[in-house]
Amino acid sequence: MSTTVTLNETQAAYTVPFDESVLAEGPVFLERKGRRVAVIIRADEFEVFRMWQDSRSRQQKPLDRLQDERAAFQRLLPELLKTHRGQFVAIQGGHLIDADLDESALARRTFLRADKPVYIQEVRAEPRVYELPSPEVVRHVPL
Amino acid sequence: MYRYDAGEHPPAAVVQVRVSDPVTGNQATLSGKLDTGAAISVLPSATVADLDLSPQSDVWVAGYDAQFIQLPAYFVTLEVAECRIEMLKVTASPRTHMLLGRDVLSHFVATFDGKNLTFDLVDP
Repeated sequence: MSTTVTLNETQAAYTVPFDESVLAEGPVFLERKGRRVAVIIRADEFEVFRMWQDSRSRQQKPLDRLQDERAAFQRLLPELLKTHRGQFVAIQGGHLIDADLDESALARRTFLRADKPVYIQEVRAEPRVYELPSPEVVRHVPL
Repeated sequence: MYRYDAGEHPPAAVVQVRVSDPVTGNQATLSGKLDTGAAISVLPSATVADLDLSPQSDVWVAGYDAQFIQLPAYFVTLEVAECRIEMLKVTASPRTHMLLGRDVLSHFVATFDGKNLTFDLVDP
């Protein structure tokens, strides 16, 4: 359940009438001209959201480091599906540098000669999705 | 033969794992929880930072709520239950234990005795 407060006068400094107990029922949306512009949620919910946001940000940084090679893989994928379907490929500097049916063997070879980031991925029409159903109920863990 | 970790609720099969970076040789020892539901093993993010691991791939994972998320992947060497597994692709998330998924368990004959809170991992 949620509550919506409509802001009518754009030039006015607002004092939103607010009863804290309303938050127990759900978020309060602030709308202007029919569009949601802000949300008020409980402080503890905001802390959980911020932890999630920090976690996502930390996971995004390593993904960003692979962005160029991942983009090269996506660009090469239509051709790789014809030539290397089912294999694992190593991409470096925007180019295919090695391939193998054995992912570990490929990683071992490429790491030995890698002086720049190497991106290793399986050549499939759709990416493989790994099942990981085990959440961990924790409030604070080291990042 | 290993004993379940009674500190978990309910008690869980947990073993010591040594994780190392095959490039730098940096290594760490941590607890690994056996998880037959996990298709890929998961390192705590803190271990990735401690070992200064570099991402070499990425994976899509589906959680218990069927939400998809893309995570970085790393290649590491694991030593667990007197078995060494080289260049294993793992992912990472903020958690306290490592999760040892089926990619690791498939190297072993695993026996769980929940009645007596013991388990065994044998590399045949």
